[in-house]
Amino acid sequence: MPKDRGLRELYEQDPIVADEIVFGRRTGPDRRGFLKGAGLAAMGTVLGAGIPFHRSMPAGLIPAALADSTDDVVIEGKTGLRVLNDRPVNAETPAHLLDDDVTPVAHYYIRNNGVPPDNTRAEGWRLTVDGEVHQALNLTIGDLADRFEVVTLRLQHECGGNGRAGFNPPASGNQWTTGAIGNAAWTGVRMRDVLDAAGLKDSALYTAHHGADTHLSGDPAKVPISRGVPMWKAMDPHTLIAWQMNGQDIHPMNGAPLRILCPGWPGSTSQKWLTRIQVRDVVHDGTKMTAPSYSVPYHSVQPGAEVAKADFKIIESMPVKSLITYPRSGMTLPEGHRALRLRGHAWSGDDTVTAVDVSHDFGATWTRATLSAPPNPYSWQRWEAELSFPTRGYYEIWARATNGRGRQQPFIPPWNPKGYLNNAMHRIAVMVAA
Amino acid sequence: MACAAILLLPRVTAAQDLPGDGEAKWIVEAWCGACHSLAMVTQQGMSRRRWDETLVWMVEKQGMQELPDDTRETVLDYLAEHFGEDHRPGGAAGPPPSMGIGVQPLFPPR
Repeated sequence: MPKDRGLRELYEQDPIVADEIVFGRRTGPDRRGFLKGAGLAAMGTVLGAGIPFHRSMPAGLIPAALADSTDDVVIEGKTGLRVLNDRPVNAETPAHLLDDDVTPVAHYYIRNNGVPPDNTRAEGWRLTVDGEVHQALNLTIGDLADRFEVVTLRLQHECGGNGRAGFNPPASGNQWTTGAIGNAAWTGVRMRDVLDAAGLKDSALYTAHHGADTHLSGDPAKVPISRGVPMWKAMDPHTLIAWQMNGQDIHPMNGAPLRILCPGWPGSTSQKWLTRIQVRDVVHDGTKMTAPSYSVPYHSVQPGAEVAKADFKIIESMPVKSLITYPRSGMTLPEGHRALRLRGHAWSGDDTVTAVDVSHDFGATWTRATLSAPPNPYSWQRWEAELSFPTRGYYEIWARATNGRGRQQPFIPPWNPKGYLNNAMHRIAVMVAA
Repeated sequence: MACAAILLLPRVTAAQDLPGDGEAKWIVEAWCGACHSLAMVTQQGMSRRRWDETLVWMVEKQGMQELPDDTRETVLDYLAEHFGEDHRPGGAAGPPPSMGIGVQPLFPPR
């Protein structure tokens, strides 16, 4: 059996031959069970089934898997993102790169569950609307633009697992910190108008969204993700079927050429690479619709506790939240400077933010920020504030948003098994030199 | 931007290994790494029981090949030892200097 280092050298010389040699050498008499069951299966998985779903990678892909590094992953059209995972691609935006009112495409986060489709061209793309409707539809993107009013809205769109890294005991999944949020300007049509054209039956209860991405395992029978929303959310005039992002084609990793924007709800309800909206007479039970996916316990639970599946509810509106986007954490004020203007954004699922307060003394006192109204419902809102520091030293700045229902961001979020809905106050560090 | 262009440039010569050695490490690299990045493993901090549940979930829901019976315990021991609850996942790119969530100090004492 080759040592790992030798294995890599083999792969460098000839990946195809190395695959054979390495897997072949696993057939030692002492590891009979391993060989028959798993050695062969692994060869099949990595070499056979592996090739289609790693189609963008060269043959002999084991060294990449072994490399275990996301430092050198380059995603065309994206800059400054922190890559959490390269298969599937998941990348978040550092807070200081979210300073714009409209999040640039290059800084918009990526949350993939499966393998994106190869072909993301608008030409020939079709959307089917069927299920509990009187007239099933099959539309091109041109049809959508011709038949329905085209609107552009700024919409806040946050992953349900944003902030997962802040839970202890750690929750499983991609360890998002604060950067799985974006607020782009999306152009498309209202899902309501399309569903009205199809004609909802009285039995219509829930949508089921289907996309063109494929399962990581390469198994065509498996679906990476298919989520939906209750009819009232689908019929909200801010829920869009969109084909443009900031006036450009949608980035391929953000769902080109067509996707849903279901603002204020877990990002996964905004299906990417959209091919079908199926109207159902039951709560959708597609992949990642059932507990514990995108679900939290009905009741508060002790950190680390096991929670029965029957005790989970599907997440709907996301909680009130804010970010400090200027300055960047770690800033040092120049000597003689004791005042700082800071700014950021605040948002709150289906609700509106009514106040943002900031503190520079670990929450002992608070200063009310200036808060702008959203340019349209479901956009995040700009806030700005000025703080003065009494002495030199190390300061933390905390930001806390309050929504129209009086809900505030907590300091510590309620623990839940999958690490969703962490809306704890954002903190940055500032050094005052003198 | 007609196609989803992601460029993977594997650092074959300077690969960052999973910790430890032995058969379990090799199996984790081959089995888990066959479908998803090993960053998905190194980001986690879970008890042996939750790793066990995760392997069951991977087989039942995600199409992973069953581990051979005689290696399952070794693999679970390995995962629990290196990525147990006391492993504070910092993400594949390493812990951010000041992610600003949770109760840890933003600038740890030096």
